Amino acid sequence: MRSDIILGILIMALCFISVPIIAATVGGWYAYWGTLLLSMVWSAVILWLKISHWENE
Amino acid sequence: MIMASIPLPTPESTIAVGIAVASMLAISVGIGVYFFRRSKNFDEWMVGHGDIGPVVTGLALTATWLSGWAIYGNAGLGYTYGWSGSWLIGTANLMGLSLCVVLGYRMRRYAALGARTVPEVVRIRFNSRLLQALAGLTMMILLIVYSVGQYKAMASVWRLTTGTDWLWSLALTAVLCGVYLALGGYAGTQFSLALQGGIFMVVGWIFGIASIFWAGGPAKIAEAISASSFVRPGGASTPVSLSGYTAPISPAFPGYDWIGVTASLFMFLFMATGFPHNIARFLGLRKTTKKEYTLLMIIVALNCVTPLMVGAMGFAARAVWGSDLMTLAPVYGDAAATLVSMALGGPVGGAIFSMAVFAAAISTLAGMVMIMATNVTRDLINNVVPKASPRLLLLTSRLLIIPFLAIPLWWTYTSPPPVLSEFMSGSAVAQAGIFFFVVAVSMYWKRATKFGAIATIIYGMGVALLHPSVYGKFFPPFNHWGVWALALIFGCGAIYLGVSLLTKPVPEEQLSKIFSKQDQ
Repeated sequence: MRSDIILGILIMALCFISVPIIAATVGGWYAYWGTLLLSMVWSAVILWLKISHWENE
Repeated sequence: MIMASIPLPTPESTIAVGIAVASMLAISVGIGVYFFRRSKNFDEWMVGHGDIGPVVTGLALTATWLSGWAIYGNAGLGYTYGWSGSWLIGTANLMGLSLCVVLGYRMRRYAALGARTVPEVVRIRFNSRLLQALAGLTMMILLIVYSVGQYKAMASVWRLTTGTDWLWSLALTAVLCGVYLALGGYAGTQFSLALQGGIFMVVGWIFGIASIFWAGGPAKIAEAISASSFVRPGGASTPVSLSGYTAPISPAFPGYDWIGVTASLFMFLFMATGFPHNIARFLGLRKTTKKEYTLLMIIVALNCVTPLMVGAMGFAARAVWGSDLMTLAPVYGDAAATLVSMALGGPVGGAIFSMAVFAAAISTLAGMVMIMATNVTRDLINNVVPKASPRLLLLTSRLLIIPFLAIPLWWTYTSPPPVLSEFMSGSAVAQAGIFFFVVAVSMYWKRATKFGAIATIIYGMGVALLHPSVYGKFFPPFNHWGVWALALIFGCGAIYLGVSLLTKPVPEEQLSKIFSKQDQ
């Protein structure tokens, strides 16, 4: 597997795992909007992976 | 805590809501009429001309994704459960929908091979008519359940803003929805969905932000939530604090503990792609450039913020009204968003918000009804009788819209589910577990087999019956929502993987027609 794909998946996994961690540790509005922020990062990374391995379906 | 009076419906609000909802539906019917001329045969009615652009597809995708749950039920979750309601609000819903955008794009390849419905994608992938029929039947069962939630959202908001009985207003809404579905087919519905998605995005953002200021700002809301405890519908107080992201209310509540939290995160991750009415949005998408594809993703990202905005309205309502709404039978905390919109903007505010709820609920309902009608005609009738007349199939599909709109309406009227979002999450988990693997993963994993897919459907439907509110309460540990949801989702994954690896692979010559050289 290419290194950029591994890096992308690692960042996405980190974003996903961070959601309950910030909820348990920080809580409140920070966790609420922080989850959205992590989702935005996830979304940007998955878009980058798709674009960089573009296939004409 | 700030205390303010709870708004009540007035004759002005009744008129304003009627006008707002009727306007939105009238435009949708107009779109349906416009596309009537472009849906000449059964194929065109089912999937259009494959020429729909990224903006319409992006908005339509968010419209089918964000239903009455997001625009109505979310405020109820925030209001009733505090921060622990965030998991069902779907704070991480963008992760799931962006995954759907990436995986779902391959639907175009199957559309080019002749797929007109989601189960037909499965038939082409596995060369199995039995699997197509089974997938179609499963979708129908799960989508009927999910449809009830849409009617309940519309019914509750109608009652709250007008104070009148909702049956006839909803029956009329269903008729108008049926008209634009029957006339416009897939393409007309896709454009109506885009309009509705745009409406609730703008409305949800405006009311969400305004509600935070109305309640005195984020710090005051957080302070009020921290000081609150869970109050049961009816008004009985409990000592369970709402200050944290878990609340030990009942094992059947997803925010009960971190197992439930984990399950709800995976549910949101998989269900956006698992929803057949979501992934079907890509069947009519035209070939896009990378820039257009990025635009589609940006639209999706912007509208996935809307559920959080509506959730914030629930927190704001809790800060202002305390637990007063928990005595407001029969909707209780679910009344929060509507009442906040009326408190913020009077009858006009209530009307605009009601229009957004109707837009969200009717768009998801339309997407599902379209799927169910074609499940019967294309995936069952045409599957068994391949030479059936396309004209007859088109007429039958149009007629089937009537029962698929009427059955959930009748269900909602005679036996409405008590807590909207929890009820819908039962169907959502099953769709996530089954169709994420059977449809989406199968488009990418060459080693998947039809036996793996069939076993996944059977397992998923079986475990769905063990939902904590159905039979799970008699069979611990399935009385715990998190355990049940994880068993369903990951059980489906394990069965799909295991049975596929143990059974004969699809012949290479057949796979070469579906997978490109880049996939080899």
